[in-house]
Amino acid sequence: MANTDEADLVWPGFSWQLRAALARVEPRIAIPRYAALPQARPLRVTRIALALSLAGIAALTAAAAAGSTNPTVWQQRIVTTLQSSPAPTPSTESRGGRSSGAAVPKHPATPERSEEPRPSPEPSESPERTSGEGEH
Amino acid sequence: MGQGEYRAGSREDFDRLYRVAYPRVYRTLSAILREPQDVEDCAQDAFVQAFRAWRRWRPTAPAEAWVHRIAVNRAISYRRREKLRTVGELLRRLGRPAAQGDPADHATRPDLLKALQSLPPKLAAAIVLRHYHGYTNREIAAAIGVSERTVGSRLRLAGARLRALLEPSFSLGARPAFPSDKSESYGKH
Repeated sequence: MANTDEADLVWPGFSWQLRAALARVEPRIAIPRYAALPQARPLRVTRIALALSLAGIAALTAAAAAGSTNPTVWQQRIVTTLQSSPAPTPSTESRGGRSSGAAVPKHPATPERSEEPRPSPEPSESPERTSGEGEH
Repeated sequence: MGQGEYRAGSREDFDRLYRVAYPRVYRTLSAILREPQDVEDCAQDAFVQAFRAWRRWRPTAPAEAWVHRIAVNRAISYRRREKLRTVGELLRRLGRPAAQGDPADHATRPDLLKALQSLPPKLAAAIVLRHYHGYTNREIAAAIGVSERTVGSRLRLAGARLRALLEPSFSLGARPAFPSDKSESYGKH
């Protein structure tokens, strides 16, 4: 009496026949083709390489702009450029009343920075957090 | 670490996987593809693809089953190409006498393999993974990315087609050879 399992058989002895048939197949000995591929680099190495290339490009740009390979010269050049750039006169005048009299033309960024904490009613909270809460 | 354990991304482990799995993958593919050159190309392509993805492999399924999945999928596209090539050959030979194959090839090539190669690749793959490699239906389902039910129906369909193809040859001598072989039922695995 054939049960459900036997009804599913291909035929008795099929597995053996298949094994015998496939045993006759001799895989050709071949040099693995993947061996010719460069091994995939880990992501960390790729990131480091990317960061180094970006730093290299930045250094080259700076060297070309400053005309020197010395980073101290780049720094000096940046300071000189910032100092030589004309200060925005109208805004300085409008802020004049609020500022505590910092050297505005010498370091234009300094007064802005010093002004930021002043309007904040809660000195304990950082400006980022306040603005983040406002967005939600 | 056991013999069958692999670390994703390890070159040494992939080499070991290749040594272990290549002959088995090759034999699986030889039941799907007709041309030995296609079998070799397909097996090699499958390992190249597997090597590229080796870093992302997760040991949720056996590595060999994973390579089999890649290989079977590639074999399916190879079969499509093979079909197109055959149609091209037919068109080229139109009006000429049909070329006779090598008689030695006919004599040595088993009919069972020919019958398997004539099945749709997914059916042939299911049969080989089940009956040659001894995977359970669950393992085959995980390996080729289908449900167990689909595997069961593919095996039944493949069995029916093989029986129809090889009716005279299998009914002659094979029946009494392995009466106790119960591993060929599909329902319970």
